[in-house]
Amino acid sequence: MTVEPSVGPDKLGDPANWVDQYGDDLFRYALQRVRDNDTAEDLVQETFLVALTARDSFSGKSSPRTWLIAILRRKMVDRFRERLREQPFTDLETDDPITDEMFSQRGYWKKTTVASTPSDWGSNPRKVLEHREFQVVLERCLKHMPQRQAEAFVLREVEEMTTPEICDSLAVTETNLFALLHRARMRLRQCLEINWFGVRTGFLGLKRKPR
Amino acid sequence: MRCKEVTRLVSESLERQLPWRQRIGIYLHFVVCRYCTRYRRHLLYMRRLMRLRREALDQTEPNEQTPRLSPDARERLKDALRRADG
Repeated sequence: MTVEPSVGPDKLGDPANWVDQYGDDLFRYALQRVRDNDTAEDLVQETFLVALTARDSFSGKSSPRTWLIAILRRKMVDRFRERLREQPFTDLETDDPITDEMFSQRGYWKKTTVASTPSDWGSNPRKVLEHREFQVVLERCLKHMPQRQAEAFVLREVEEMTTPEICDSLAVTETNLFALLHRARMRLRQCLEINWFGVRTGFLGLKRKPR
Repeated sequence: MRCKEVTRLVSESLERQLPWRQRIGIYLHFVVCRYCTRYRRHLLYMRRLMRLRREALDQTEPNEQTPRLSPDARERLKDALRRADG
């Protein structure tokens, strides 16, 4: 082939400068997908260490940032899979408290629950996301989700992986993944309802901004 | 069908095409239940929300509000790289 073998690794620059060059970018990327700074930092470190041993295989066809993010993404999925393996899905076979919280015994929406029945949210998420206060509510709601639900949700809605891809990389059955996603969505929806769209002060203690 | 079951299926319908019986069941339920109708809208809303949130990060230049590595974390990372490269 005609590709110079040394072009790619050269483009990555000196590893001594990687933290300053790419660190914040990778950290921000990770922080949108995991729940805390420590995990995000861990992922950045693992990414750099993998990159160090694999840098000769970097062809330079993509940008260094894209290449590093692909590594980070794999590391993140590995981490999620490990966590699922540690804790088997026993709790998924029983009823999740969220559904009892939302629905009466007969299976209809509980209208007495504090502001958690679906209200009219309008149809402009772009506009809502412009409020700094809403961004805070959203981040806190995402952190408030049970960990494995949040991880499945992130792969689906942030990474936009398909469900077969997620089942494959996390080694879970489709039934289990659907259950995780269902609960994640129900929780996040409830949290946003209570803390932003609903009419009362939410359980996170954040006041709703009048729109 | 009741709301508890309908909400579960609505979530599933975002992942795969449901059998026609279930689809009809859901739509008949929507006619009489505005909460479940809204529930479906909310799930689609959250999907767009998460996409916009990600795009905002990809597109905006970092400013003083964007999170960055703490000075300590920066040092720890540099250390780890030095040791591994050593």
